[in-house]
Amino acid sequence: MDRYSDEELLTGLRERDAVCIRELYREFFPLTRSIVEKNSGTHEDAEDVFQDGLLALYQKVRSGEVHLHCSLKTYFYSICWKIWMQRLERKWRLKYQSEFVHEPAEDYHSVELDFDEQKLERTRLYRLHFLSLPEDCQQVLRLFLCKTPLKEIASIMGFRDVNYAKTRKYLCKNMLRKRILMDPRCKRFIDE
Amino acid sequence: MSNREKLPEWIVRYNEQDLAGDELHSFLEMIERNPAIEREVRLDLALNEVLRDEELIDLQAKILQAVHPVVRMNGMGKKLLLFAAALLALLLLEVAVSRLCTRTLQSYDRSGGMADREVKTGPYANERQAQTPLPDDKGSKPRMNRQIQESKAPERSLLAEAFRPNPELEELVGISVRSGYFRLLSPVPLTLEKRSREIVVRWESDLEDELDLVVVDNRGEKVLEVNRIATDRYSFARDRLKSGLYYLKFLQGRELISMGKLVVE
Repeated sequence: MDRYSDEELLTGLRERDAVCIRELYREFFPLTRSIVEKNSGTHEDAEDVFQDGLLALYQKVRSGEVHLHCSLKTYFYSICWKIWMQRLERKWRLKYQSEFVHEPAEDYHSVELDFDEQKLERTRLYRLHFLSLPEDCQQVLRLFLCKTPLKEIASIMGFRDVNYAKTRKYLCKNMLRKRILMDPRCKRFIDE
Repeated sequence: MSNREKLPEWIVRYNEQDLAGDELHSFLEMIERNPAIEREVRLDLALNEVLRDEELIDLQAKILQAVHPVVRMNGMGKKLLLFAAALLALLLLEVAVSRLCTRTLQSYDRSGGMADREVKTGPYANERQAQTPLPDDKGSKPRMNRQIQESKAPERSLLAEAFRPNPELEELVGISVRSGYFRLLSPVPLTLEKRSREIVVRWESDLEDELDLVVVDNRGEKVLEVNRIATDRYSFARDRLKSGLYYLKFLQGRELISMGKLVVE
């Protein structure tokens, strides 16, 4: 199988191409897992870090901030490394001491990255809960947030009238809030 | 609708700046009384910001699909899977029911020792009627290997069922429910030995009228009835009763005088 070039991968990521995303997972997840599991993390932590890393990379690609002076792998590795180290410090699972941190074997460049690791995690969790809502709830909320006219929403969703469309919106939003409030992972974000 | 029920709506409308007048006033009062509502308002606001970025939601959905792929099947595939699942469920149910039945029968086989009972009323108040334990073949027969034992278990269980005491009838054994004297003399011991060809029932009583004797099995089903016995005994062929536990009802008119017990091996 021909490997995708870094340029192809970045283009595919910018377009949110599903095939490209699967390829990114296949290529880069083992690396992410290696960083996390060698530094007090679990497989689940590694999956979270990979998702956050990919979302952070996407936002940079979308805003045109990515100018690669190294391989995409190196760049992505640096993103994940930074995310995980910040997360460890924040959660106090491991106090950041150089002797306990397994440095990468190769000479990976230290890439300057500025992103809010906590915000990455918070927004990921909120989106996860949104994606766990029933399909019709997701659609109703999307339509409202896009400022679609009420009558059109009622027509698209097959509701009897605009009042019912509003009621569904309130109920779906309430369902989403409740799910997040009941998630212990979200507790610290809500209490702050 | 109470204010509490309107809360989900008010939270959303408050953040959309669509709340005014009395509703806004009531809502702000609720927030003041309950800080948890304020947290929900902030959460709702944060959600609005997150959910507006459709591209990130789309990307996250695709990342999830890559990390945890969900196999999508066509209609036929789903039907086949449902069919296979139903078959498996039926098979498991059958195994479970079969095991439960076997265990139940085995527990009947194991239980069944009759406890000694003390007669509490009437002339028998100070007497104890000894009750013979159920036949037990563990001591007398040689040990069988496990396979043979397992194949004989259902057969033994059915036999054991015939010897299981009937709780309702057990309570009446030995009790004289009428004033007057009545005492069962035989069969004593209560277990009839195999070599006996005849069952002899004897009693002594000061009751003047004739008695009726009804023999029931341990399920309470009548197997023998003899009316108007003028003497103090009655005998009948052993062949009339299969192996099992029986109760002897002595009646006058339709009233129960006393109850005896008999075990036929």
